[in-house]
Amino acid sequence: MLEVLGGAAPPEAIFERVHDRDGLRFLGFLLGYARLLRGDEIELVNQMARPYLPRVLPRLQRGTPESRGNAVLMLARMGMPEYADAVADSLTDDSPVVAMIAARSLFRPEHEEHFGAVLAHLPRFTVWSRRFLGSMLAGGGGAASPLLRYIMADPRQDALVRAVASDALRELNDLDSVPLALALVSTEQDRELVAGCLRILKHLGHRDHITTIVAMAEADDPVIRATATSALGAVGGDAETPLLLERLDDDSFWVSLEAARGLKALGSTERLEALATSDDPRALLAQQVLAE
Amino acid sequence: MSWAAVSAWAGAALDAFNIGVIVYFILLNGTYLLMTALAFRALRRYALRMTAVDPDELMTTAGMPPVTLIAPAYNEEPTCVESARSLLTLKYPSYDIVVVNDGSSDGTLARLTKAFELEPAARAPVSSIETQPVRGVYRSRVHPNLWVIDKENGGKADALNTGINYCRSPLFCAMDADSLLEPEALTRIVRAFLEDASTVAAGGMIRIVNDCRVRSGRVEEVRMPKSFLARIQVLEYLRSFLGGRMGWDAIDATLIISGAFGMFSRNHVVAVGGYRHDTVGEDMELVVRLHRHCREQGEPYRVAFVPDPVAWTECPEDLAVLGRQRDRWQRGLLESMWGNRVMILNPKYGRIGMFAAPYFFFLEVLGPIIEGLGYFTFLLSIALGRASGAYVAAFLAVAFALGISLSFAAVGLEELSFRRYPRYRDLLTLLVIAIVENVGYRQLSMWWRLRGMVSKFRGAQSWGAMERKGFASSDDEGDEAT
Repeated sequence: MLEVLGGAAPPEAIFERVHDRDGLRFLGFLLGYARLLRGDEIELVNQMARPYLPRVLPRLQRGTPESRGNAVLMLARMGMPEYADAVADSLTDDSPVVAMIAARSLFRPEHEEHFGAVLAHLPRFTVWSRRFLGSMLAGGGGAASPLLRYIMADPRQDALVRAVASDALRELNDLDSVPLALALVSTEQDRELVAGCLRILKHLGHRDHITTIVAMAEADDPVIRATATSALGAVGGDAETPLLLERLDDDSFWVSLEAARGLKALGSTERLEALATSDDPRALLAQQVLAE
Repeated sequence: MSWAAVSAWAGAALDAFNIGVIVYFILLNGTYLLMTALAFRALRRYALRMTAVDPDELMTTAGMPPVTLIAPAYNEEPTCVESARSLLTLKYPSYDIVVVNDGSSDGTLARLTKAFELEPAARAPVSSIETQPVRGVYRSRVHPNLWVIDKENGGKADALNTGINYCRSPLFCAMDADSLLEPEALTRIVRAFLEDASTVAAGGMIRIVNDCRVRSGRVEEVRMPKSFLARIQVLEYLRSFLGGRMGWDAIDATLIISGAFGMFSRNHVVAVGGYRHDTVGEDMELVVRLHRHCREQGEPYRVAFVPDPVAWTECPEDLAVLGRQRDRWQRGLLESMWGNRVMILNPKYGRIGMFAAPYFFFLEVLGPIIEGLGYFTFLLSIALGRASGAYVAAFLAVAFALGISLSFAAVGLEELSFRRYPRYRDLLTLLVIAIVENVGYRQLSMWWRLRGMVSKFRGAQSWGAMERKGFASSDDEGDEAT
């Protein structure tokens, strides 16, 4: 193995040493390397694995979910793109864990043709953490953006799925999602989706969107209020200072914190400095934000 | 009533009690065996799952939530720097360390200040669980994610609640200040929250650090402790975590998360009011209350045990200290179950109410009373001729054999999964301990638990002091220089 990886022997040299019946065990061994290596070395690992990979295919259909998941991972790590269709078939596996391993393997820029299939199965994965799912979808890169926008806009989709799509679009810095986010903020009721849209506006929005953001900064829901207040600090200007000062006294700590950060971001630190040296209960908060 | 009638009545009562002891014995050991069997299956599946889900790969995703480590410290001068240093070496993308100095009377704060160049810092509390007053908040100049909160003494629960009040992340990890977390511990335990967003709490594995070689806050070489008492505890921990908790987790009925290492959803813990001050078993009580809260709110939730994130902790090597610890654990268990007794055998609380809570209350809380009286009544039965010596000896032999089998199974679980004690000599030591502990130590342990029950009814609230000897470190001299 080391000789092959070091270039002292061709990958074929390994085939004489590893009998076909030991192929699965050898693949398990190679998988450890496949996780660590990159570039030319991973290509060598794939070449060593190739003759044994057909033995993995039957394992996609039988055994425990863990064993099927392991089989998917072997194909995904050492058998792409040849086995991409087999991996995609596992998106329909009964076990969400197996389906998730397949989804993570396929949602990468080089497997763009499978994005649709993965996104079609997204509702199965909503038990996973939203942050995690958003990050996974962002892993698809810019090519995934049109599909993600489609999902985010589709009212037939589960609100959580749409919110996850919004997280991914924000991570991808997708400017084309801004008009959509702006429209959804005003029309949707789901807290997670609205907060997701507000985060897009915070990161990618500009002054033209301020009216919508200001309206949300006065929402009843503290999560939406805090996210909108945070967006105010990012895209607002001097005109928003009074509202941020007002939000500084919000019942929710998180809204106050975002208001203080917003004031600092807008350069309106005089009030924070005055607050920091006062007996006000928010003095410590002001001190914290000034020190951040 | 004639003497003969009284004697007959007493004899019948004695027989009935002995039958009760046997039923208790069957139920207790039946549960142990069931849990061990479930643990074997669950650990095998877990190991397979680990080949399919790579923690290092998870580390590279941006989806890892920020985490706050809360480490309460009371008179932890010998180990606090090493422990904090261990926390600073964790492999995790975004985390804060909040050491809560709970009014230590020794040099804990001074030692931390010197080692990490602490300076006063502003940090506003996020929630307002009632605690003892905070005297100061400090931040390390050299490690900006290390914070120390100095407060008036209020006990471990109070210190943890203070840490929760200052926790800004959605998840926090509660731990003992003297515990050493393995570098991947956070990544591994957070997985439970990533894979199931309804997870409200997850516990990790606790292992014994006594006599292991520690360098810069990391366990470099796992060694079997030299002390006989510590060796017994190594076996006990394997039995409890790999055999017990893994089995309970397999049926989604985890009721205990060790105070030495557990991760929690901040919002849920704040919603239930944080840790309770009026119990010495605040770690278990919180988990029971989280179950209760989520069930009563009709909220989908999960409490998980994850076997591969490891926290190493120092165990007592002195009989008196160990006795006080077990006394406290028994009081904590009793308080947790009694305070939430509404859950016991209540179908509204699902498998927790119908299985886990009754097990812990009837078999673990009342266990030492039944077992202790059992020894006495068996002897009395022999003396009165109501039971043959051979029958009692056979029963004790079965109990002995079962005890050994369960311990062997726990060692087997360790060997089949994590193999932290790779030397054959260590394995042999554990197997010998599994036999030896049944005579003397087991009875002593029962006595400590019985004493815990008595001290609870006498109103005891103390924790009992634990003397730390510090870790077997190869770079202790470097502490002050860093």
